[in-house]
Amino acid sequence: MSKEMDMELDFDKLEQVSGGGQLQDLINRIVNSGKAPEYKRILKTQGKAAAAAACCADNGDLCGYCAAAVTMLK
Amino acid sequence: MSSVLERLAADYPQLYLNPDTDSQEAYRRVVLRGEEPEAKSLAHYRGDPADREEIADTPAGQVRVVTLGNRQDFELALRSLMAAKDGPEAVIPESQGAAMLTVFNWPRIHAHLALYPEEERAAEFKRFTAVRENYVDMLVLLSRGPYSHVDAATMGETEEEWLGHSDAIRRFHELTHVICRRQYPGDVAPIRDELVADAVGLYAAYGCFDPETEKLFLGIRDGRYVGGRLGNYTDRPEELTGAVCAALERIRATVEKQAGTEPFRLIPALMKDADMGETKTQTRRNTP
Repeated sequence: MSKEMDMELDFDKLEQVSGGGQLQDLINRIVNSGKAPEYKRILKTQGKAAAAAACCADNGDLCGYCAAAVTMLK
Repeated sequence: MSSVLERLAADYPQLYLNPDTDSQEAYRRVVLRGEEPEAKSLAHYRGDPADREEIADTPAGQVRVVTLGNRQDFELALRSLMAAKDGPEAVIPESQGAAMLTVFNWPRIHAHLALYPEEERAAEFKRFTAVRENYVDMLVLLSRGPYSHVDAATMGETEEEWLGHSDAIRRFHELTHVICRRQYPGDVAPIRDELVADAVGLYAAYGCFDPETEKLFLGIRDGRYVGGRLGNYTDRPEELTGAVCAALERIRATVEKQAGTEPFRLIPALMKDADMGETKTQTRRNTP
């Protein structure tokens, strides 16, 4: 029924908000999304706060870990 | 199969899928579009006598808490619950013993839409799902085992004693995160939040807070970071060890002053004690 009516939920609302793996989850997600070079470039040219903000804009559910994650990207 | 898993799968049918064999697309059909899985089997789970479920009452409302006694079941369930977004192959770290997560409740959506004529359901779907509380559940999923991988001998307890205390710490720790997310929406500081959650957990389990126990959990020995959970929350655990230890002493003083208080009531004071001036980045939306 839902398929015929084209009813679909937004997976952005699915969040794992604690558990201890969030920092590594976020790093994995950044790498898999291909955004790591962009964040590293912002980190180098504009600093940690700007890089963290860019990360937060894309990964709001893990936002608290962005500041750490962007400095740990290889 | 444990009735706990059966009840959980009835509300969240993605649990019938197997993250080792089913694709992310299969998960997305179930989770995002509400389609029924082709087969409703829970054969990939082992079930355990320790599986249990409760509705916990907290200062921030009721929370569904599920404990799965078998570690593999915990990992399979968590992978399935997050597979639509993260993919079914996401690895659950060995260090992760619990999770607080949001899940869509499609049975509630279907039941609501069934009250409407078919031609009105698409519009009603949009209206009903515009309100997050109508269809998004908060679920706490717990495993069992020594908390923070600290063994019973190090704690000076028997295996059974430490397992019981670990269960209590873990439960109160996760519920503290739920409460903080609801009562301090958008305010996330990873180390502060973990110190507060551990403090509530330890106080609930033991009736007191010992900074030395918390240092064991975090991986701090003789004032130095030697590897442990603290590294999960920051890129500079060595630099922050001193600040963490100072925060733990403030927490100890607060808990001593408020001995006898119900554990969750300590949270506001602990949020101040554990504030180490971390870069607090506001999340974009409330996380219930």
